[in-house]
Amino acid sequence: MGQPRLNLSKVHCLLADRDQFTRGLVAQILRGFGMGSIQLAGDGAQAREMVLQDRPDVCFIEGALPDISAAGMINWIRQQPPPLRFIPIIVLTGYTQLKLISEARDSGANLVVRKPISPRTLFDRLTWVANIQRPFIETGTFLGPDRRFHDVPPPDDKFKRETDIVAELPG
Amino acid sequence: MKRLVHFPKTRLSELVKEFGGANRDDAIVGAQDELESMRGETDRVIGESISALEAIAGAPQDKTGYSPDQMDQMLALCDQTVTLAGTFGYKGLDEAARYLCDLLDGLREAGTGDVPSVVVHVRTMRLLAPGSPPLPPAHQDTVLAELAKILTHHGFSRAADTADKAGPVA
Repeated sequence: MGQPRLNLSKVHCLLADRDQFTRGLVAQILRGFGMGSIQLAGDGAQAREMVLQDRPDVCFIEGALPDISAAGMINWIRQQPPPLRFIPIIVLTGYTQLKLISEARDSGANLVVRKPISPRTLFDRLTWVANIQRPFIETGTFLGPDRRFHDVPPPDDKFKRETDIVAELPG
Repeated sequence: MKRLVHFPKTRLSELVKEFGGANRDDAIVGAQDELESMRGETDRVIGESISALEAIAGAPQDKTGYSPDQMDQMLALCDQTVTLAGTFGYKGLDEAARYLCDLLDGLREAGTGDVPSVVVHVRTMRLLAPGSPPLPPAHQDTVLAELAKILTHHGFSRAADTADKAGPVA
């Protein structure tokens, strides 16, 4: 089986992180992957404006922006009219924000990635989000990708229950 | 309750399949090269963050502890240091900064203060920072083990343990 290949040259992404230097760091990794264009936001207000104006193809959002939590930001995106509401969202959590993981997942994030971020981890997670199509569930209390992993494992092959069987990803 | 299931095709999934692009190894090497170009700048930012931590840790609100504002500032600086140290492979500093994050988080939740412990953590971070004389691995392990004892003494848990119970995460 060959290596996964991604053509990101036409992909437009939004990267929202409160810390300017960390933002630059993650952006540099994405540029290294060949990401077409990257919009940078330092807070939720900026990020919301960019989502509406630029309609990114994928969003990377820090766990807690200065003016809104990732959960709040995700909720807002998921309330937008289609196709905007279906934008893949990857949440990046800092070490002190790990407690926000459940909250972000339950708000409709496609994936939560812990910082520090290595190029290897980010590429693999992005590949997973781009290639694995999960159904999008809409109920009165939840709007986002199916949180249950029936047919394919999460990208780190770790299931919540020991009895869950890890399936091979289709080649 | 009404439940709708959509199967949306995203632009991302369509675009990444177009001809061209990079395979995994090339993309990762490309990104690592980009990152490496930021190492010098990162070392400078880490140094500045530790200086800022030293300034706050050395000026507590009173003998017993730090103000909520000071705690927030230290946590933000510490979190940033974990991210930067981890990204650039400064393992000792990464671990020391994580211990300080756990300590600050525990102290905040318990509503208590422990100035000497915070100061010891910050000094350790300086000791392990890029630019400081390298510490032999055995000494580094000893120093980090002492930080772990402080956390145990307070009965605080590590953030990583909490996260592992939270569900799928990459």
